[in-house]
This record gives sequence, C-alpha cells and structure tokens, in this order.
Amino acid sequence: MWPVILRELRANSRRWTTYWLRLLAAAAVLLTIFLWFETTRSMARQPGSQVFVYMHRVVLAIVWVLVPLMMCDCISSERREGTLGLLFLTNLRARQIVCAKAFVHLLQALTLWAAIIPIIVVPLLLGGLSWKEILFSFGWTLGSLCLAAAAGIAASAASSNRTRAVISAMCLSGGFFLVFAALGCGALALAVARYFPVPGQVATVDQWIEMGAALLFGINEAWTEVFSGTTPLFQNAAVLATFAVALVCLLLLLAVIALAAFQIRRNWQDKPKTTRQTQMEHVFYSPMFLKGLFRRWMRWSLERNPIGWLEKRSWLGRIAALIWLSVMISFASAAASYATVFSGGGLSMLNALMWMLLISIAYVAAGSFRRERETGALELILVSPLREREIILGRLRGIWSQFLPAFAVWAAVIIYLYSWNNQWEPGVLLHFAVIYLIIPVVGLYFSLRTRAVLVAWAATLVLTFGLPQLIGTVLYRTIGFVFRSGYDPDLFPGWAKGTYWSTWFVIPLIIGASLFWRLEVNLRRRSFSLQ
Amino acid sequence: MTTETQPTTELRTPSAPPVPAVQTTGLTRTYGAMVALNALDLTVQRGDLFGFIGSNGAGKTTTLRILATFLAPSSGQAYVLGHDVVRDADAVRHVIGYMPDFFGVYKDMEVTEYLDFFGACYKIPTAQREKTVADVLELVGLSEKKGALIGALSRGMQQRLGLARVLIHDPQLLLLDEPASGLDPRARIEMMAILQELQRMGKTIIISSHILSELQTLCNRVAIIEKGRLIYSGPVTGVTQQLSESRTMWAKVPPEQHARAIELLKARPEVRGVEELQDRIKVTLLNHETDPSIISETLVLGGVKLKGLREDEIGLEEVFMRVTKGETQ
Repeated sequence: MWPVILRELRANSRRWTTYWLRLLAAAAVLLTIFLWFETTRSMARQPGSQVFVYMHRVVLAIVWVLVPLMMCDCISSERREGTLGLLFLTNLRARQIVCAKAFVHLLQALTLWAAIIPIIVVPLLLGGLSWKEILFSFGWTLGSLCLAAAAGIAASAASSNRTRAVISAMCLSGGFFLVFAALGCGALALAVARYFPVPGQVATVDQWIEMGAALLFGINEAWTEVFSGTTPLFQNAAVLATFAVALVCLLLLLAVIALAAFQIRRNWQDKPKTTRQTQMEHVFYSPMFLKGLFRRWMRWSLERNPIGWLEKRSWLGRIAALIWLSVMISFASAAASYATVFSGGGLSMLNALMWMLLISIAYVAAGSFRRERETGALELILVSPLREREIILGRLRGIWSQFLPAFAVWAAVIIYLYSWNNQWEPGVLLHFAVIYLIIPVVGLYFSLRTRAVLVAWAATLVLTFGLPQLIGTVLYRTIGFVFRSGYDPDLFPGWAKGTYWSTWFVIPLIIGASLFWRLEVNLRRRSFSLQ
Repeated sequence: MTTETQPTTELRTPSAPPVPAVQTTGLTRTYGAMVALNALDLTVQRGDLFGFIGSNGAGKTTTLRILATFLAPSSGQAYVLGHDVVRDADAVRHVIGYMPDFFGVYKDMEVTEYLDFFGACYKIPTAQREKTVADVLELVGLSEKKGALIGALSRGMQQRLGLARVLIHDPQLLLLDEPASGLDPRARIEMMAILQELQRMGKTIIISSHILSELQTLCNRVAIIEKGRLIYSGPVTGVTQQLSESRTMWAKVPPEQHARAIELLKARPEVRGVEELQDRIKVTLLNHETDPSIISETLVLGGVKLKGLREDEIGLEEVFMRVTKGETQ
C-alpha cells in the first residue's frame, strides 16, 4: 500500500491544481467574510459567531462539491490509462489500492480545510464565538468529508470514463448529502431530545427536520441561540451528536471503500461487452424512430458544420440536450397550468434552473476540445483546410444549438409568466441570454488552456459569473469613494444604473469577446497543451 | 525570403525547372533555449519516396509538423510544391496529407463515419465523398471493415485507417511520421507495399522511420538528421559511398598463401589496411574512388591464386550508426 501512497503523493505534489484549489478555498471563505461585512455587519448581535456560520456554510459547500470532484477520477484514470492492471499484477490487493487512493485524496481534501483554518482568527477576533461552536462545525465538516469522499470513490470505481465519473460523483454526492442530513437530524433528535429547552416544542418529524437543517447550516441564527441561550448539557449533546454522525460517516466511507475494492477486483481486467450489454446499448443508444430523418439531419449537420457535428453525434451530448429540454418543457407545462404557483418565489426557481443549465453548458464547453487534444485529432483538424476561426465558430455553434431548444423554452416560460404577473423584467432575460452566448466561448478557451477539465470548468464559472460581479462591485465602490457619495445609489442614480448594465451585460460581453480573440490567437500560434 | 522569390506551381513556365515537392532553406525551430531544428536545407523532388532518418529527438517530427503547417518555423523558409508553409498555409493544406506518429482517431466512430468527417473538413462535395471513401478504403485494404467501430480495430488497421484519412483529399505530398511503428511484420510489409503503390500513382512521399533496412529497399532518396542538423541528403545508393570513410573488400585466397597476399597488398599505397579473418582477407582501400581491381591485379601478378573478391556491402543501419553519435536535443 505504501508505494501507491507515495506515488499518489508525488503525483499530487506535481499538480498545480493541488495548490490552486487550496488558494481557491481560502479565497472563497475570505470573500464570504467580505460579503458579510458588506451586508449584515451593522445588524449583527454576535458578529464572530455569525461570520463563523457563513464560513461553515462555504466550507460545507466546498466539501460537498470539490471533494467528490477531486476524488472521482482517482481510480478511473488508472483504469483508463491501463495502469490499474499493472498494479494488480503486483502483490497489491484491491482493498489496498482503494485504501491508498482514498487516504491520499482524503489527505488532500484535509489540506483544503487546513488552508481555511487560519481564517478562523477573523471570527475569533470579532468576538462572540465559543469553542463549542468550532467543535460543532468541525464535527459536521468531518462527517461531510467522509461521505463526500465516499461519493467520489464510488463513482471512480464504477467508471473508466471521466465525464461519467464526474456526473456519477455529483449525483452520489447529492444522494449522500441527503443521507448525511438525515443522519444529522436523527442524531440531534436522539441526543438532545431530553435536553431540549422547551419540551414538546419539537415533536413532529417536520419539526425535527427543520431543527436539524437549522443546526446543520446555522439558519436563522440557530447556532447563536443554541450556544448562548441553552444549557451546557444541551450544547454538549449537540456537539457529541455531530461527532457521532462523523463516526457513522467514517464507517460508511469504509464500507464504500470495501465495496469499491470488491467492484474493481471484479472488473479490473478488460472484458468484452456481453451480448446483453450490446443489446442494451443498441436499444438505448441508437435512434429507434424516424431513423431516416435522423440520418438526414446528421448528414446535413456534417455538411454545414463538421466541428459542431462532433458534439451532436455523441449520444451523451444528445441525451444531455434532451434531458434539459424535457425539464424545461415540464416547467413550461406546469407554468401553463398553474401560473400562480410560479409567481413571486417561483420565478426564482426558474432562474435557478437556468443557472443550472448554464453551469452544465460550462462543463460541456470546458471539456469540449479535451477528446481531440487527448487523441491528437485536434492536430489533424488543424492541418485540414479549416481555418482556426471556422473551428472555433463550428464548435460554438454546435454547443449553442445543442442547448438552444431548452433555453428557448425557458425564455418562453419566463416571458409568459412575466406577462401573466405583469412584472416585466427584460434585464434578467437579457443577462441570461448574454451569459448563454459567452459561456461556451469562455469554456472553449479554458478547454485549450488547461488539461484538467474540472479546473477548466471552475475557471469558466469564475470568469463568467464571478469576475463581472467583482469588477462591477469594485467599480461601484470606487465611484462611490471618488464622489464621496457613500453607498447610496440615490445620490448618483446614473452611476448605479451604469454599474448595473456594466456588471450584467457589458463586462460579460467584453470578457467573451476578448477570450474569443485570445482563443483564436492561441489556436493559430498552437500555444496550447497537446496531449 | 518571400514567396515572390519562389516560383509557384501555377506560375511555372515550361522551360523552368520543376518545382520541388519540398524545399527548405535555413529552417530553424527553437523551443525556448532548445534548438530542435538548426538551419535545415532540404530538397525533395516530386515523385520521390523520401526516407527521413534520425534518432529520437533529432528533429524529424518537428520538420514534418512545419511542413504540415502545424508549427511555424522560428526562422528560415519552407516551401511545399511552391507554396510557403507560413504565408500560404491554406494552399499547402490542400496538397499535403499528414499522418502523425499517433492515430488521432475517435474510437467510438465507425470507419466510414471517421473518413466522412475528415472529408467534410476537407470540403469534399457530398456526392463525391462516398465514392472517395470507398476508394481509399479499397486502397488500404479496409473495405471489409467500413462499418466497424474504430476502437475495435487492431493497431495495424488503425494505422491503415490513418493512411486512408491522409488520402481522402487526394494530396500530392504525403508526410508520414513513423507509419510502421508498432506494427507486426506482416502489417509492416503490407504498409510498405501500399506506399510503393502510392509512389507508382505519382505521389511524393516523405516517410520518417526507424526501420532503416526497410527504408533502404523502399526509398529512392534519404536524409539523415541529427540534433536538428542535416548530415546527408541524397540517393540511397550513394549514401554508403559518401558517408563511409573507406571501401572494404574481401579477398579469398588459399590459406597457405595468406601471408604472401598480405605482404603484397600492404605494399600498395592505395591500400589502407589488410587483415586476416578466418579464411578470408579483409582489404580496406584508401577511399571510395580507389579502383578495387588493384587487388586482383596485385595478387595475380604476385603469383597468388585469387579464388574470390567481393565488396563489403554496408547497410543503411551501419552507415547511420557510423555517422551519428546518438545525441539528442
């Protein structure tokens, strides 16, 4: 087991992402503190405690998103590169291999956490933060780490394809999070029931779920109330409950490791597809209806845009587009039937749906040229008569058209609901349209700049969503500072409007245009990493 | 130098000398401080089957990538059929077929789908493409596999598919980087037969390979490159004469006359060295211009019975080992 651990540690130490992810985690927490200062500083009763709750939420989000993504390719990459078989030819056992991988990646995840720990000094200095709160957060995070790692390992053992591993890891992470939340609520119910300050107040399952969620995420100042307004017995019971959950999560992680080891021991050898698998693939992956029309459509696509055709011909790409279209159509039909449901908060739900669509487009774009780079097909395409701009535009058109039906349905639903509610907000629609246009450009740029798909994806999201916000905020604050208007937009309404337009439309468009230009230059100069 | 100074195919007059398939002048490519190609001057005539020989890291792939317009040279010029590879890259891409030292295949595509895709990239009209695909598959012997998934093909078949892709737009010049690497003997022989057939069809082929014995029989011209510098470029038949320092002959005389024969031969100023090896005598002549008949003349006039005389044939591999030092960048 030790050689595998050493190899993994060496490989991780040579990856620049290892260091950048730590920086990213620390930066995210610092940004949270900055935003907290910007918004709720003046209203806080116990600022240290409140800042700490914000930090805790960010840490949980980082753990549940980044850790499965970091771990989901640890075994699948070995399988893909053919090195898993070589490990099995040595004296190593499947369990040792999986344990070594899990250990190293868990260690890497812990370093993410370690990068955040020094920032705890900020809430400590602000005051109002007790050591029990720190332990409480520590317990939740430890449990989350174990289950998030379990999601990554399970996904990695099940697939050799990176995209499938990523999707499985995220799905499993969502499922495990629900398990974790249920465990948390259950543990709290069992541990603190006797000590609850108002007996009988929390009686039903709904109330337990509500209380569990509040204590898990620190909603509605639940932590402040518990750790400054309840008895020490209750506080101790709550802290112990989190560690009990962490222990259960650790046991679950070990079970998943054992399962993963069992799975790779059975499947490490290359086996030809069984007849049943072939039949299943034929049934589910091949078009069944309107085959002639499908063939003609594909041929037409190939004639018009061979580079975009590559996106359409993959069944995974078609399925992703169809799933999004069906989701949007479901919402459209629901909106048509129950328009009242979607008024007010319902519109936020539709907006959240669009964010999710944009995030998935970012993933598609960020991994777009990966296969061509890995197989060397990009080199062959580049020495064909297609110009660099044709290649880029071809791929962009491919991605845009892939998700256009879903976007169009969403836009139609939004317009319908706006007209139904008489609250016309073209800015939102326009903003999403702008992001829809530029996100594939940013994704394609990073797909050629970096070899790691996840890094490309993260960079795409940061540059598309984060950078305009940051520039907009800095712009707004600078203007406020220069004109000494404070933060009151009423004093300079023109500037406020200008900043709004810059943040939501102009800056994203400038980012998109400049990256398109850089992408073309890079492609022309061949200044990107091949294979 | 600009494109104006080089005659293009279209501008060539009947009296002008034919434009070479490839011409490079002072071609240099650097990667940071490392010089991958150092002032390479190379000419490949049309119709040549040109072998490009060098150790790993000698600069062969860099040269082929520059000729294929994938890389831009740091300095110097390269012309492909009269077109500048930098200024007129679009025209170059239409007349070349480049096969890198990796497959570059989409394993989840069918064979015809793959060729169809590259046909579309080369903007071959749809009506013509189907026939072209069938023809190139026939040529490389993959007709029976046209519906197969590429991932299910053997290495040799994938290599053939790569060759079919190269031929899809009927290029005049083929740039093949290690086309036979990793192939079994049968597949290699078949690949070489296809290349000879392509040469007969009038294609110019530049092939880089490590299998020198095959290049010796296959190519009519070769170039040897080391550390980015050209060591030799010319006909295969001349390479041994030009690059080996001396000429070696083997004389067969009765054993009892060995001492006498050696004494006689050592007395000749044209002979550099004489050595007795088992039942034969190895005679090293001063240079390639020395007439080997002096050996027979000397021995016969000296009363030695000459049973046989033959020249030591040096293979391309031996020449390569002699003239290169195995240094890489």
